[in-house]
Amino acid sequence: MTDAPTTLQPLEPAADDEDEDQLRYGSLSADAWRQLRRRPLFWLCVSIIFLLIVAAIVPGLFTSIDPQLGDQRNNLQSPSAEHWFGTDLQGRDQYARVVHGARVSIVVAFVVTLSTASIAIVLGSVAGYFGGLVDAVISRITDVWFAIPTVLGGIVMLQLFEQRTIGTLCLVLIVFGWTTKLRLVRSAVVAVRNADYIDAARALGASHRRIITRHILPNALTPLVVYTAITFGVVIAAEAALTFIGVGLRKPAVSWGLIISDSRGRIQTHSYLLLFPGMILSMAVFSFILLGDLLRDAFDPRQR
Amino acid sequence: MDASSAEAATDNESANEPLLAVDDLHVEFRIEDGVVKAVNGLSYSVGRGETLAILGESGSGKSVSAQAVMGLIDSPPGFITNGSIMFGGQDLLTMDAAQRRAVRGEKIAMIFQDALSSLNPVFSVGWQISEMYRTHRGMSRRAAKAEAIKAMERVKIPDAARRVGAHPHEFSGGMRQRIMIAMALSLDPDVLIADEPTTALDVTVQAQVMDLLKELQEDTGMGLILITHDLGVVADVADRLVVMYAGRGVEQGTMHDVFSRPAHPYTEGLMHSIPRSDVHVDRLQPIHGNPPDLLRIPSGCAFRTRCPYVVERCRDEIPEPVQIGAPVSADATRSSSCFQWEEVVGHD
Amino acid sequence: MTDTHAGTGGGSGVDEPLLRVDDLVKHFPISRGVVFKRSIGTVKACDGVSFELQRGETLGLVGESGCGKSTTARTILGLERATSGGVWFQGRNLVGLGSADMRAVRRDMQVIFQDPYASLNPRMTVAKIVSEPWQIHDDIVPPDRHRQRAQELLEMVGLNPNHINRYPHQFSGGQRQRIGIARALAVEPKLIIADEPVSALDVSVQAQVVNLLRDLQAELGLAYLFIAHDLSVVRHICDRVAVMYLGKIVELGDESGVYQRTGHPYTKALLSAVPVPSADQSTRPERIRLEGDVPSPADPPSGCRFRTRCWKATDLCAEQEPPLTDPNVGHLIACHHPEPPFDFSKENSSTEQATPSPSS
Repeated sequence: MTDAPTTLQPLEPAADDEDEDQLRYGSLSADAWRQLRRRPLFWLCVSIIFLLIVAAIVPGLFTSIDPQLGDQRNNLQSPSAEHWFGTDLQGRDQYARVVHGARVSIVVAFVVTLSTASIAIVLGSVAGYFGGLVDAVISRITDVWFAIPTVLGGIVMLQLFEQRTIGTLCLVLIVFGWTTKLRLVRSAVVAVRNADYIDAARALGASHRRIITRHILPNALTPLVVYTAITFGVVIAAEAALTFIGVGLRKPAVSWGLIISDSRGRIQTHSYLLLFPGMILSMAVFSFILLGDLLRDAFDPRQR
Repeated sequence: MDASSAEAATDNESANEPLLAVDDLHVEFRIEDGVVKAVNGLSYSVGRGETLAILGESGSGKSVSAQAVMGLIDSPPGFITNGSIMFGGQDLLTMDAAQRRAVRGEKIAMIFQDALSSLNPVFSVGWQISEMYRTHRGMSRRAAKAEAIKAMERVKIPDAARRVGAHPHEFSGGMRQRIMIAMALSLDPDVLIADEPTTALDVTVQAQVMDLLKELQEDTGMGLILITHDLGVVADVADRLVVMYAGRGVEQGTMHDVFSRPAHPYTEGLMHSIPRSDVHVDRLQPIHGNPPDLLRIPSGCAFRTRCPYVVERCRDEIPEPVQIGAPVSADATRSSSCFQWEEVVGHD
Repeated sequence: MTDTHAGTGGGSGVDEPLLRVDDLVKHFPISRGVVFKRSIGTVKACDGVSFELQRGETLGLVGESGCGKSTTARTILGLERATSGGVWFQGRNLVGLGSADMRAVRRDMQVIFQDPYASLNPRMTVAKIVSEPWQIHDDIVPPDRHRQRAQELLEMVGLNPNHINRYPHQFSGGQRQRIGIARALAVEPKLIIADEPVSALDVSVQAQVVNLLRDLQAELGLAYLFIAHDLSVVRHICDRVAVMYLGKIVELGDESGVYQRTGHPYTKALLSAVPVPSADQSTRPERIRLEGDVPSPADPPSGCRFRTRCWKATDLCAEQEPPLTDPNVGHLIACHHPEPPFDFSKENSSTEQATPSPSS
């Protein structure tokens, strides 16, 4: 059985074949990586995100000033060498507050995004793969839930809580944030489900679990990965928005939403109080969204 | 067909002058990974009432060459780097865009393999056919619709008057291809290019469509360029053929000559490798290896890596077409791009 | 699953065919509505198909698109649930078999698909594709020998064993089809169902794959159920041929019988429509032009399904469905007015003069 039948066709001269092993070829993700690493924008986004994550973990690297420590004598100072972003009404260093505020944003962004993605992967692949009644139930619930606007739903639900911590904020954003992702995963799974290689795996006797994890998900997750990068930014913005309108975190917590909310009465007189935290927030959101776009371009062969 | 328009096209030509003559056509696509040399030297001509088949496998450049004739190559990434396409005494490649548009559709029309994606799903077929008459002939809606029904009757769509309002998805594959033909012939073109027109169809329907094309050709005297990979279809309908491999026309001649005495190893290989429904052969003799990657076409003769007749010279020199005259062939267009063609013809 | 696996012993008696399909029916409901689905009809894709397949034999299942040949294949494979009827494989009825039992059966029955671009997981290397069967059925090849055995399989199907770490898109269509064949061979099956295995390939590559399939059959004693629309390929590779029209077999017999003593008008028309790639067109049977299209399988004609396009149709054809029987020609024909065999022997003698003696 190990001998090839002698009547088989000889192969191409090997010499013609071998030099094909250049980097030009590889898996789809290797191709995407090859394309991404040549884009300066990609590196810009990655650096900004990296700095934010470091700031969230060890804010001390960026500032040694206590964000809670106010000096009334120094309140409402304009930006200077000593206070880069100026000081607020209580005389606290605005730069230190922004650096420390990153933690809330990043934690919320990661917790919410990863949780919603997990919910979407599990339920979306079950609905898309099995179809039928399971799909009908999951999809209809998703559709109904999808119809509730996130911010409105978030405001209503947050009102119910006496104590509002990062945990409650995450919970609310998760509750209203999974629907789009689930629909995304489900439709990608449905598209892959009927591929011949799935039938081939079924014909080999592969279990449902194996088919989903080895064959369907690796081929269906690209849209989710792209969208997830974008939602990092969206969640950061949503946290700031909810906090700004007063249903999110409360003092003495430090978050970008709170900082911006504090400064709202002074836009005319002390615009820097809003300008710097606003700029940092926008940069963070923008970096994630742009990263999502770049990922989509890199993973979508039609863009090439 | 409309006599005056046909006359205008052929006015200053002698009677046996070809309708369309392609000479040494080169087309390449410049993409990120390199330059794809899709067509690397193709010459052919087609005369009035004649059927010329362009035979080739996927990637042989047969469809790209037709797109070049139609002016459908997007540039970038596509570039026509050499050659001429003579039609009615003029080179289509040097015409300006407006002149080119006047030729496309009016004088040279094209049908495609996939009729469903070539038709607009949201409009009725009658509307799509009559649009040709309204935009090109300035007909009224009512007159154009009457013409559309006539055109549908001409391609033998049963119950045309009733089905004129139906949408593409309501027709079968064969009927959709007939609608495409009706649209292509609506302006009485001199040349019809059919790119794999029956590949997506079942054999019985394929036979119907090929019969229809033959019949319409006899009526109108149009030249038909049939692009296909199917040797059976070629043998069935073509007067002459060009065999393409890796972007080159490697062999050319009348159907009878080429099929009875192939003069290029590739053509010969194809004929030995296909099974037939009319006779039982014991073992097929395949062509070894795989078609070349157009980014990395072998030096010299592109077929040499798969060729049983290969000699030293094939690696270094690109074989130019040589005319094969008497005693092998009485046909002046008979040619082969192979250094060893005499061996091939002598071999059976 | 090792104890339920009947593969090595061959299972049943000598006379039992490897595969016996018995009045197999697969209907697809046509439903409307988003939330509440209601059935508004059925597509009778496969409507009472019966045939047998012996060990080491190749049976061709031919027909035009929509005739139900692929549905029949998928139902045999258990990729679709049969509406009724039986699929007896190695003496065991697969219809209604539980998934654990079916898994054991799959070791002996494999599939090759038409589209070599869609049938391989683009995210897996060739090594993973070919060795996946051994992870599912873990008693075939021990894990430490996966790589070596995968390379042996690649060599067997004519691929360079050093290319084992490449991804599918690094291969041409014909090479991918060979990878698909290697995957099917990995479980050492007895039956391979090949669904149009060469029709998506380039003409010059088709013959390579056809020859490979024949060589593997000779070496491994495989049986093939060969699904195709191309009558030329089927004639070449098959021992016996079944012609399908609108969900039913209309003619079934050995290759020479069906092609040379054609009895059913549809088979005759189908054969006559295939163009012959030769300068000499005299070997081609006289053209029979069929009018119109195949009727919808959701609403097939009464009686004989071919009668709406048949030039021989009579009232009888509309009233009674013709059974698949042998009208003394040596093979089965489902027609009230089969072509008389003497007609064809005349035509055949002229054919034989013009061609280098058709074997068999």
